[in-house]
Amino acid sequence: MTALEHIMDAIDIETYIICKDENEGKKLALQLGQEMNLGEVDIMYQEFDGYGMRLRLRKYVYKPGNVYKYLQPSENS
Amino acid sequence: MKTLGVIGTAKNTGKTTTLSFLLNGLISRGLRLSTTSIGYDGEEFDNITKLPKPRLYLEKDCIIATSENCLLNTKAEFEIIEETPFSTALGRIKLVRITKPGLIVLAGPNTKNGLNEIIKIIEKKTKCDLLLVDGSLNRLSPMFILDKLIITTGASRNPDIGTLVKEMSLIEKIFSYHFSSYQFTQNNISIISSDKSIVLRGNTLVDEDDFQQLEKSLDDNVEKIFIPGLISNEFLTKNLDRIYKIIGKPFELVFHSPIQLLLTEELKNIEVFLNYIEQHRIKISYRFKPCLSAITINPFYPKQQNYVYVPSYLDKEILLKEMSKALNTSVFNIFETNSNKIFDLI
Amino acid sequence: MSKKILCVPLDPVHDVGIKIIKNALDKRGHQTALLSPDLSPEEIVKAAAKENYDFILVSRTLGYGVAEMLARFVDMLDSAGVREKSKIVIGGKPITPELAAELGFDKGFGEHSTIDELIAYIEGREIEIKSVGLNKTKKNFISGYDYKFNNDEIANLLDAITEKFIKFTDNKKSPGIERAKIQNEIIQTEDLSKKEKLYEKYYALCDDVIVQGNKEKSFIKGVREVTDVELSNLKWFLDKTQPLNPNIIQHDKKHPAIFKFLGSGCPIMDIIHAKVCERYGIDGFLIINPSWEARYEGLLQGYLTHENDGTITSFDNIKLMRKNLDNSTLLTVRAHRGLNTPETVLLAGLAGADLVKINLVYGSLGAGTDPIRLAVDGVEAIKLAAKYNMPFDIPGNDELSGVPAWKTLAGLLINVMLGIKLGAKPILKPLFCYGPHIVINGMMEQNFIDYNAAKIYALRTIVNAPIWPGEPIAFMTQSEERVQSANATSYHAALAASLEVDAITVASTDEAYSRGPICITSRIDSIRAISDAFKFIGNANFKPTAQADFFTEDLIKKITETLKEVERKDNLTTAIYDGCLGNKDDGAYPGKFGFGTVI
Repeated sequence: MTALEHIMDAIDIETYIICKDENEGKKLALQLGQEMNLGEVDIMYQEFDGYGMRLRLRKYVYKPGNVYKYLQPSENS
Repeated sequence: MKTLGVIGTAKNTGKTTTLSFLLNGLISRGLRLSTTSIGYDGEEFDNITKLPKPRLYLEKDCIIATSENCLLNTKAEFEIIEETPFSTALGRIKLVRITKPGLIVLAGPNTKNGLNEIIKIIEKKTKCDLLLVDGSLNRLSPMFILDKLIITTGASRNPDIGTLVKEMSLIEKIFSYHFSSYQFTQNNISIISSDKSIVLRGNTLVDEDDFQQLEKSLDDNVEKIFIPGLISNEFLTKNLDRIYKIIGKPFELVFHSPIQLLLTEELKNIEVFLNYIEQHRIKISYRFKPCLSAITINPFYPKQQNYVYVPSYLDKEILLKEMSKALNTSVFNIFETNSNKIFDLI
Repeated sequence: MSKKILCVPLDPVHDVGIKIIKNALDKRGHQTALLSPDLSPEEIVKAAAKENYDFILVSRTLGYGVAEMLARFVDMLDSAGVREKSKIVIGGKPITPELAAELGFDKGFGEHSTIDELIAYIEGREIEIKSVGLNKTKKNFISGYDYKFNNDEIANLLDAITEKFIKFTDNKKSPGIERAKIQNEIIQTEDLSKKEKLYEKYYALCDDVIVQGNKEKSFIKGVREVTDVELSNLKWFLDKTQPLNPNIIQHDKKHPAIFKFLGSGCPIMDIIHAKVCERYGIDGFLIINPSWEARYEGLLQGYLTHENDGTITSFDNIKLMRKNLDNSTLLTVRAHRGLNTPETVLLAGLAGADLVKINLVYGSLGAGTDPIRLAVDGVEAIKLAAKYNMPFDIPGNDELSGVPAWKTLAGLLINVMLGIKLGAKPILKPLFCYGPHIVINGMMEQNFIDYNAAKIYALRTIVNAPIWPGEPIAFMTQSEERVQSANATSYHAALAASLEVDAITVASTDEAYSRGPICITSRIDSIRAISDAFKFIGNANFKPTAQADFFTEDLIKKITETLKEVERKDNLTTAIYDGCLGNKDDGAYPGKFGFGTVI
């Protein structure tokens, strides 16, 4: 089981991206998820202030209805 | 200059893909083209589902009418022909000629008046043979001033093929009625009887006040009723009966255009309405009606799975076969081999 | 010109937004009508068609199927001819211009739009969204204070203490004072050969580390010169960027000015952080310099970056910061400890800084400088602060070692009286902290309000002087956990507003984390928390309990006793050595840097 799979539900990334406008910021935010090997991420919060964008990205590792590996005895033994 | 619009029964039914296909095909057939949109189309990701969307690639010499913010974000190069007096939420609409091809987002006039004026400007300032207008979401109204329409539908409207086919049959039926022989010049509800003609104060049949006003003016001599404005679902399902009972015999209902019927909330109300008028031999006609040239289908739909949207598909062959069987209008899947025949219909 | 506007709440649950907008439009003299939220789309269209409205405002959140519903509604308005007369506008949290265009509206306002923007649109004025700069005026929170003492006993004691002290420091010299004089000449002279000679005189009074750094560019570990390319990159970045929708944190005249620390080590990173913080509403910054700067005789020159905590306060670095901060932003330079205090104040003054930090007591009791050296240097520093018209704040950081609040406050008051006598403008800086003495003695067991409030009440009872709690507020109540840290800062900020203090220094949510530099995310998060705190408290008040009154009286009594003890000594430095203002049981130790250097 990977460290990511140990996460109960989600991982949040709180950060600040330098970008020229809101569109570029959003694009970079989604790209960041890919670059960090998290795949598709949701932008939970974004605010562009002129210099850059304050961001909170979320990657859901487990959602309701998924099978939770951390509850499986075989995975945890 | 001729005008053709691509309208969708819902988002993701393939409007932009169809438009793109038409643009490329018509250019290669030597037509001088212009294009615009009544909404916002050509963006990378769907505003609501966040899935990637097809973007519009525009060739050299194509004329487009789009908002100034959309011109800031393109790698295509262009020269400005005219800055129109119209604006959208994305800024002033500019008429430009593409000088270097590229991907571009179209956001053009969003009202019927605005579209009408843009058409006049294009006619005046360019030598275009045809204007192609891209729809937006399931929006209709401005499109009904155009000469021809192509309707796109598909799994995004409803993932059940049977329901889709039934719905398109109803839409086709709505388009099948003819132009009114009587020239109604007023924009209010008008009643033509054998002995007189009356023009009412309003143009809608939406609430009880409207109906009572109409009922007061009806008698058994009525031959035509012209309704230019909005009609409620009650009219389609119940109140038509009230009107018929006063007149007591078949008459003609004249609408401004098919859009009034298409704007009902649910097409099953249309079904009830069409059954009623058939039963009672009530005639339907329009003051104005674009020609329904073709229907295109898209088996794709965004399926909601665990709070996100994922791409899914219906069986495209069954969809095309069932749709073609049920309709008189030609049906195409533009990715299939016989799709070039669509150009013969334009 | 008055406009006719129809307000349409298409959202049956969330119609508060549109009601607020309607009120705002009514106040501007426009004629508004509000439909009830339970009408069918056809009924709404009929109402819209009935009158000639200039604008139809629709409010709606998004959800499943809502886009299609709105598109149909837009079609109905168009079909009914309403769009020939009226512009249709949509407002809602997720609305963007692109979404508004897709739905067919003439304009869209989303969560980042303001009521002012909407009103400007309706009135036909385009608000310049990209406003140039902050459009802010520099805050002056000193004027209005006459430094009148209201407690005669304390005033007399302070008078006696400071008279003795000034006499004691008179005619005494130190390398720090000498270097400040030489530095002043160096800066004022254009003659290169004269400059060279002055530099030789200067270096003769410096430690080797400083001489090597300045002459040979051989710096201590972690220090390097900032390159011209880095400086020009910074200029390029700042020239092309403007703050967007700058935030104003204070909305009541009671609300204090807000300061943040800078001191990442790199002046470029500091400036970039500062520009973002300015946009979020920060009024001023304090430069935190490296602790080793205090230990060496002499200051490094040039644009310097430092890989560890603290940004070097070289003349060029201070000028760089001053130049790149907004004109309305206040800049404070630390000069309360170490062997370079007069020189630092001089450079700060010449570089255009607005304030300096000086505390002769704390600087020697908690910050390692020899009391006699700091006494002499400190008096000179205060005179220079007066000369360059820079008010000076007096940080009561002694409390952080364990010194009781009353001794710390006594020390602050001594500095205040000194400042007054030397023609300067002192600012009291009591701490809002959970200091060791407070923890041990349980003053904040019940709540954090009473004791903090008591400090302010006590000081106000004694003297009419500006008060600027720090350093930062909520010190030692914050953990590394982001939300807790932001909350701690925001509650203390609300308390500061309630107590109507003049300014506060606030931390980022990284405050408790000591193993790395502070990041911009943490700064922004705490600023937003403070912004919300002020929104919450407005001009309302916290109500301290009766315990606050007891604490206030007790503080005043003990301050008086402390000052009596100090007055009985030969002079202030003797009092410091003898522990009157903090002894080793309190965790305070007279410093050693600069011992024996005063002539």
